[in-house]
Amino acid sequence: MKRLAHIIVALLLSLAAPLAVAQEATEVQKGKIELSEPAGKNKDAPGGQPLSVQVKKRAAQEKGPQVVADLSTHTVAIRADFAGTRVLLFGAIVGSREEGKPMPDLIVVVRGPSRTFKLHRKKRIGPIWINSDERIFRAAPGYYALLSSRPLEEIAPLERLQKRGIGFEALKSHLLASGEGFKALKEAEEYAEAFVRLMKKKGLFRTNEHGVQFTGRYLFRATFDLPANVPLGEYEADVYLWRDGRLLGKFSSALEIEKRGFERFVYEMAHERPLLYGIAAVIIAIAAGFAAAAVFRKD
Amino acid sequence: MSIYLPIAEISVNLYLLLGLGGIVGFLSGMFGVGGGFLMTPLLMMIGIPPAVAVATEANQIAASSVSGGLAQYRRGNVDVKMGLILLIGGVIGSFLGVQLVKLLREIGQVDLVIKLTYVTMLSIIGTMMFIESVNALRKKKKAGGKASPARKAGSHSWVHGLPFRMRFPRSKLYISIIPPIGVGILVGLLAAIMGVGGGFIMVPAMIYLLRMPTNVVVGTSLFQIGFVTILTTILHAVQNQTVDVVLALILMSSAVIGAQIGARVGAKLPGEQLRVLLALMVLGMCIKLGWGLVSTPDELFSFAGGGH
Repeated sequence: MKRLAHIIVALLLSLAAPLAVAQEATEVQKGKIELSEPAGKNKDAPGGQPLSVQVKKRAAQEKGPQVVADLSTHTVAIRADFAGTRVLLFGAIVGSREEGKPMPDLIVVVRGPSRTFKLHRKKRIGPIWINSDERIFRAAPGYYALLSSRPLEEIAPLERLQKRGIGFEALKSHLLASGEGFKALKEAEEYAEAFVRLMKKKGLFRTNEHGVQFTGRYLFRATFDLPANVPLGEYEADVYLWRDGRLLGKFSSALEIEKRGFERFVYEMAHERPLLYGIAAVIIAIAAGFAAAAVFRKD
Repeated sequence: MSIYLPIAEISVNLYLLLGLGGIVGFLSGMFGVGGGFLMTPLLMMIGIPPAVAVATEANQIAASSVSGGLAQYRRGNVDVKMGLILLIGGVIGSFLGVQLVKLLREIGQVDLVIKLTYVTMLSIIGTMMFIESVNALRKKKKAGGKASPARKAGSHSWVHGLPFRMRFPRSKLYISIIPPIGVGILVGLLAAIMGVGGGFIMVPAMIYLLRMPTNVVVGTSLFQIGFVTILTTILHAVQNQTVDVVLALILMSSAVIGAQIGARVGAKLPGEQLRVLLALMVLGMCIKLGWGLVSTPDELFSFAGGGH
């Protein structure tokens, strides 16, 4: 890939660590505005990360190890030839001498824009299967990639990860909190399971237990794939640094996926000037019809 | 080579789309049907959201009917007066259909209704077409190559007893305008709900119900389909924003060429045998769609609204 470049930049970035903290704070605020926070006890579910920010700031004061990272690109442009892409996240552990210490663990969570999803469950009515029940998840990410340097359960106890909003279990409990129309908890759990299953099938939810690789003791890299059906919008890539089951630091960077060029023009026309768009579509069709009739005219 | 479709929001192989357009265009040129009833389910099968498939098909059919309609018009095979009467019905049907799609999308039953309509229509049309063409083949054998014309002069049905009669000189008919308007409404509804031109309904209806002479049937139906699909495209674009011009352009460029080749090939080949084949194809798709509705699905859950 042409985008696999400049890992050294990560080292330079380490100089900008204080800046990174500031950037992260704004990122979190942004996230809060965009996500409709579910009314419930799951304050640490994906979307609300105040706890991890505190941890991060404390880590900075103690001059413990920190993590900085960047993405190979901050905007993914969807053009006519877009068939999915791969983004590289690279970074470094800074602020401490790592030699002699146990190897740290890294978890990367890439989260797409949150939106409402409606799910149907089919039921048999007479001979045919029809969509009978409809349930809603008010706020669910349209993309979720979970990468780690080793299996999650080896990094930290699952409940601790869940508390930080990391992993599919945390995602599910977040889903349950934003659910609508559910009659029982069991039903909500079934729908949450189905949601994750369907999203994995579409390639929009992905997981890789060995997706974060270390180069030596300080540098690391991870790649995640954005499939062709990736939703548009603001993405956030969070890197969590763990050691001995404790969270040491976190770093966030943003990614935007947007339509560009002709694709963008068509999309905007269709949604902002639908009548003009419809007429244009018809004129194209009529012109194509006339052209074909003229070309193939039998005289 | 992949191409990203801006409204469908998926990436599809360009050659696959061109191939589909060409083959369906060829068949439609050969049989004088719009081809939408083959194309729409195929588009859904390759992952285009149903609502986008239906609306975009309407746009593509507009192109192929203008092209086919013009060719027929030059040969004098269009009964414009009858076409306009059919169009009145078509406009009403299209308006109702687009509203219905909007409503069904809101309650999450649009897929089911589209599929059920397909199964019903395809089974009726496929069976009728099959019986008709097999009978025609038999007659042809008995008569030693002289097929009797479909229209028997002087024969009357209930259609001819209705009020509001009008004279259609080109079709040599003097009939009530109620049946053509009714047929037009049905076809307009189908255009909006199923993403089809409705030729496979209108052509038999014109021959057997209205008793129009066969030489003006295809041209007149293309005339009506052209205008109805133009209207349907605009309505879908405004109401649902589901018309993908990039997809439509790819499909129409290959379908228009396929249709012209199909029309030429079709003129040289034995029509009845081909019709048996088309009937079997229609029945095959019908069984496939029907099976999908009754067999136990692997996944009981699905996303609403095409799932993206």
